[in-house]
Amino acid sequence: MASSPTAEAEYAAFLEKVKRTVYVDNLSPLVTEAVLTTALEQFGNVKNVDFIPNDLIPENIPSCALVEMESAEQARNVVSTLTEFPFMISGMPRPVTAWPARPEMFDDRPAKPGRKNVIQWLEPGHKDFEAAKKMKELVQKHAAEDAFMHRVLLAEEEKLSERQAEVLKNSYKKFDMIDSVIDDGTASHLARYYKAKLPNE
Amino acid sequence: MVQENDPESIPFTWGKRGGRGGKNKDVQFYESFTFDDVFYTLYDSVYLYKDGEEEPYIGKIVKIWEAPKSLKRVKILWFFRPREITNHLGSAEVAADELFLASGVGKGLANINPLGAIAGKCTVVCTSKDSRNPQPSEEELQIADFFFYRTFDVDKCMILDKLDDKIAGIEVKFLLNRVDKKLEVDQVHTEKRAKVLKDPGELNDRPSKKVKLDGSAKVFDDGIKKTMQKLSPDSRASDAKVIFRAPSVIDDQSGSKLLKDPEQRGNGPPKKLKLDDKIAKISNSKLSQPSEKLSALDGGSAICNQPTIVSSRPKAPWKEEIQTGHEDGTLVLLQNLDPSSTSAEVEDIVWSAFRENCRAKMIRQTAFSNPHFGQALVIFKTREAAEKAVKKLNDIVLLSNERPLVGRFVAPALPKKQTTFFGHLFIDRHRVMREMKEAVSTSHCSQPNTIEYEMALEWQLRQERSYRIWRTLREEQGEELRKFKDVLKPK
Repeated sequence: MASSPTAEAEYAAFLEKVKRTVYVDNLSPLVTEAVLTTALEQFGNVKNVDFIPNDLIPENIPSCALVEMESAEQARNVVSTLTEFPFMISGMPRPVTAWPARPEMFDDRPAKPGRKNVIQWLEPGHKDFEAAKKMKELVQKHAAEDAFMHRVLLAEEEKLSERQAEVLKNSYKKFDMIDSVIDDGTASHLARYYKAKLPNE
Repeated sequence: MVQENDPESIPFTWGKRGGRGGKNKDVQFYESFTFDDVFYTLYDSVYLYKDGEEEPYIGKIVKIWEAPKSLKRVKILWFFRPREITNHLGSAEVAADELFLASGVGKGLANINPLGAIAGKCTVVCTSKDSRNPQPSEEELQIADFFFYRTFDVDKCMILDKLDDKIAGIEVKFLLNRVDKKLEVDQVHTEKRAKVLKDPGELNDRPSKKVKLDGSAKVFDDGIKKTMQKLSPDSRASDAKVIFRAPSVIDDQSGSKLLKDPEQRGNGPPKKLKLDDKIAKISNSKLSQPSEKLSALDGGSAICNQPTIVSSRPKAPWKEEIQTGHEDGTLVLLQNLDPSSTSAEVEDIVWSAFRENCRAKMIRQTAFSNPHFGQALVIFKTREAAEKAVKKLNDIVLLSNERPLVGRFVAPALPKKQTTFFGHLFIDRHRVMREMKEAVSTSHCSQPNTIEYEMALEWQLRQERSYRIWRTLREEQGEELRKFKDVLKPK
């Protein structure tokens, strides 16, 4: 493809946009464009929110999105803040994560100018045929590894989530009990009995 | 696929040279050639096989040439068998071995085929009483496989008794019986004639033994991937860009767009431009078999036969499209693409490799995608096209920028309503709910003195761990790939 000046300019403009954009992951599926915009407005002006659809992975993976900020500076600010602090959107305690966006994450990106695409059919007997075939198998193996890893990590996430739910329930029970013994006078009764002083008396 | 099927193993030599043509004078025309030990000249009748068809197609060679990069092409003017035009025969009486020469202007008249699609010679004599036609001898009639004296007008869908002066731009005298001594000034022709006379068995060369050859002829055809329909002349040049074992440059977007809608450039009836595929099919079915013939030799790359408006993109959301594609068996996942490829480039790659039009979309990468390869979902026009492409990708290897592509059918992830999201906890007590709701609905950074903060740190730990696991996996995968990449790098 001949690299015309317009294609070059278009691609340069696209790269600028990439720099302004933050990739946000670990989002709840309930997070909408409006929610995400509001959440990140505190770091600058959100120009565009673009959710990356999951067309292939058959698991309940968290949703992720590209958020275009007004400037590269703002985008860097979002990434550093969200990396430093656990940041909650539409739920807790799983924090959302942010990284600088990469060109391959964008839909309908312009083609890299000056690149030539070359294709070539290889039949058995060609000197590279065996190597190419092995590489094909390797790629399939890697795809299977990826799918497996997704499942493993998802299962671990589920486990963590369940454990935390348990902890939270117990903590809540504890606080609930403390609340109730104060409310029904048991606490003050016991305080008098042990001649102790409750802090708010 | 076995090695013996290598197309180059079929003996081939060019015969007499003709003029040169093409945009850059890079097309060499010929008047004869020898393929698989059979000598062919212009205006010979030949069998052409199409996989899956019981009966071979029959046509006359009306042009022979070699396009750049040694792509061998023949233009075939078709004969119709009676059964192919049953709907239009009316009350006409037809003999079993009668053929109808295509005439008129339109689809089904003639088209361009790879030379390798020729499966054998066929003897067709013309029994027309027309004064221009040298009457066949008894002997000739006996050894003939078929005869014809009428033509079938592909435009009007009518059988005609009269022979036009020109058919497909060729003087009709060339299409009738040959006048041996009188017209054959050409030495090659005389030679050929002599050969034929010496060896009448050759004339009787029925496709029976050629059927065996079919497999290799087909591979040849598939392999070189140069099946092209009747396109405008300059599309020939771009067609020539795909070549066996020689890297080819994919047409850029604008070029391929033009290619993808030959009808808009060609002389297809303008009103057809407005039709969508479905209607186009109906209008084609009027021609029934004749129109199929057009697609016969390229395995049905529908786009060449039917007016397709490339510019108007389907409106259905992509999710729905891939779901429909999956149900129709036309959805294919291409893996190991260059990660930086764009969807349009993938469409071009598919076009260049399979001569199939398709809808393609790169799978957008996320932080957890494999950065070593790009993936794209491709929706082919037909299930056959998709199956053919996947099979071919499995049988042999398609390198795209030194990457062997992997193609397989996939089920898309269904758009499902997710109700639970691991890591978001809720306490179902009314009192707390309200406070919680307020706290939760506002996005915020966790404060260090809360339970939430502790749990959030656990998540951050977990996320960091996932991130590291992926990174390690990617490094290992990259290492495994590297040695192959070195091998496949162009030297």
